[in-house]
Amino acid sequence: MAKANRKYSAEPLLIPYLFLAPFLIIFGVFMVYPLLQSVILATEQTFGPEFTEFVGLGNFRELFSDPVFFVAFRNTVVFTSAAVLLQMPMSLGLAMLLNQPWIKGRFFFRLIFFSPALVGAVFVGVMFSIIFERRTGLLNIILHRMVGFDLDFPWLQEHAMAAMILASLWMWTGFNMIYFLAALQNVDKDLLEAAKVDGAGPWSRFVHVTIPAIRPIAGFVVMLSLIGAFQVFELPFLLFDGPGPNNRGLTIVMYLYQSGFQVGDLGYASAIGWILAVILIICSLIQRRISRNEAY
Amino acid sequence: MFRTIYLEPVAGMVLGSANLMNLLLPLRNFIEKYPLGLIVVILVAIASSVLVLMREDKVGSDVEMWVFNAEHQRIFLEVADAWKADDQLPNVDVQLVEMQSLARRMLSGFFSGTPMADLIMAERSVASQAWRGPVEAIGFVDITDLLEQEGLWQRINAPSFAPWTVKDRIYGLPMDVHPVMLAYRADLYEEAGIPIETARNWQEFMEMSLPLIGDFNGNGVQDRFILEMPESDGNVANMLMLQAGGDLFDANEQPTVNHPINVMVMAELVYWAAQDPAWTVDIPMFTGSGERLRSEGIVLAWLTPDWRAGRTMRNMPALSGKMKLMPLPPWEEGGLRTSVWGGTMIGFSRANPGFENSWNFAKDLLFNRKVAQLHWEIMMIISPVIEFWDDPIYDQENEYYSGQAIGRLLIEMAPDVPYRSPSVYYPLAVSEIANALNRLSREVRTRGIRDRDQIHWMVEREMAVAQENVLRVVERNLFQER
Repeated sequence: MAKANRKYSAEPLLIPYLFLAPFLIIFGVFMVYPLLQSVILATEQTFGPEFTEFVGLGNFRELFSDPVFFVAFRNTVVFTSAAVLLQMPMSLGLAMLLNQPWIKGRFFFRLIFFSPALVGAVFVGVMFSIIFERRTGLLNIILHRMVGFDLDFPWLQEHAMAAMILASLWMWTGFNMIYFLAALQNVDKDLLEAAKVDGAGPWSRFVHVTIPAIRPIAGFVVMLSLIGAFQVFELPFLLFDGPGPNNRGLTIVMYLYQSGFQVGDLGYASAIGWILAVILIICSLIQRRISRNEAY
Repeated sequence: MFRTIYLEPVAGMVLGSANLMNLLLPLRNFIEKYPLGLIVVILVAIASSVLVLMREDKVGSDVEMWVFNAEHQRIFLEVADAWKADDQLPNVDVQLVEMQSLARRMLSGFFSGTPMADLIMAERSVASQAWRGPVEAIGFVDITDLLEQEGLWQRINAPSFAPWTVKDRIYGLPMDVHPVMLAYRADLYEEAGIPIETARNWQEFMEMSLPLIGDFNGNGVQDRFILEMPESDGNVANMLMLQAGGDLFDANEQPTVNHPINVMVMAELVYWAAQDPAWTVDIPMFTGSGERLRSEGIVLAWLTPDWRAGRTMRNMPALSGKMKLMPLPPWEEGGLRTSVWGGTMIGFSRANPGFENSWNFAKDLLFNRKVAQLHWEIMMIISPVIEFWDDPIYDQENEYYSGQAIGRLLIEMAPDVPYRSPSVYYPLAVSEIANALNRLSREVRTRGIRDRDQIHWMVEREMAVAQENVLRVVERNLFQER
């Protein structure tokens, strides 16, 4: 036994590092180094590694006077706001509905509502680009037959943001519903029962018991939706086959892609990426502050 | 414990003798000494290394070529196979690479020396990315002197060189001409007794077509329009600007989006969109629904280069025998009756060690009559090589296009194809004019504006915005000499 102990004695020092090494190496090479490199890149104009010109904060200065960037920024903010303000109540409502034991087949409905998230944004983008077509699109045809809606209604041409929001609602409402459902199932039944005994009505129980109980999860879902919505790219890119008419579907990440990979200005694209990162960091800090102040 | 109780008796039963068990003793000691996770990692590493070592090496080729289209690959493989069969000639491998991947891999090869093909077939928007930087950094071989020395320059249609000519140097062998004609519903015009091919200009073409458009079933939705005019794709507007003698960049690659000719053309397009019933319609050009709408007769005519004429045949069989091609109506009497859309070249990587083999193979592709014929038969693309234009294949009557010899019609347009800038910012400028067209069409329709002077003023305003947007991006580039 003593012999065995001696054999193992030197190894605990090395083995943890050995197991950590693959991750650390990969993280360092593919995350930390590119991240640092992108900071340098944001201060340069490049044409491959051999041709670089240092421009300092020139890319950022240019960005703040670029009207197309502001179009992308505005579109992203509108989309994100809709994603949070429409998606959250809808997801919570669906979760509360499908949490009711009297609904028959609620497990099936949960799966149905969740399933759009399984197919991915590329599939959703392609599918909705067909659904939203003028004249031949499913949506206009159904609405035309039901309520005489304009068969030639230009969803993709002139109502790009509405089309994007509708497609994203279809995709993500069910996904967020699952988080809320999990949170609702963890609400303390005794608290609800006690509130009921004390004479609290359904609304009062919802506001004073359920909401505080699900707040940490709700905060997490809001944060997740914010980050996802700010990074939206595939959905509008496929929906409009580019930034859409008059850049109506242009988002920050799509502008980053255009600048970096279509125009070839990687420095400018890098600057856009850092602006986006700063926006997301600020959002995270605000969310953390709110969560801390309202901790359950 | 598990190993002692279960593995050893099982191994004993399988191997059948205690002596053999002794042979496995070192293995048992090893298993006991090291954690199971580590053993699994080592085993996986050994197994994957063995698999990698066992993998058969691909048979090497002397020349590697990347193409972005399966039909091009199919055609080029015929030549590659012929080379393969000849022991005197090098092996050529023609690989199909998706266009965006091709662009990324091409730039990585140029910038960082990552492995890349010797020959690259690149579409205009991809190739132009190679000349965003300084001239000395262009990764393609400058073939200007070779073309001159070997007398090839005169054998190729001159405008086809334009997208690959940077600062008077040529960086690729052009593979097409892509003259543009007007595809129209001959059956509908003939039924109405309208000799549309006699239209002397665009205005007359529009006016002659008016009896054929409108809301025929009275459901409040216009059933037919005269001309397809996408408002989210500026290529059609750009073709009409090129036809009128305009372009989006000048000879020094500076943007000229709001050039008076471009403004004049744009004002006309907006005027067409402003009419009630509208003369033009924004339908998708390359989707199933767009093709269905065209098949159902929503639009009387659309601009088509050679490649789109072939695509129309393949994707809209219902229109067989109903279509015809005609030269574009000119903007003014005696004006140009064609334009150009698209373009592809074969470029040679500067890192290519065996340039001579690549050059000979590319010449065999371009100056090979059989390849030219296949391009016409399969893709309906006419050859840029002038000596092939007399090939009888181009004189064959085409049933789809009402018996017209469309190859001959397209070739008649080929020498007049307008020159266009090689600028890397061309797609950006095209997208800016689409944005301008979209804003303007929306505004005139909403406000019911049909006054030409007012439209012209609005177009000047929006084209100035488009010019500014393109100029801002161009001026950001510190590497291009101005």
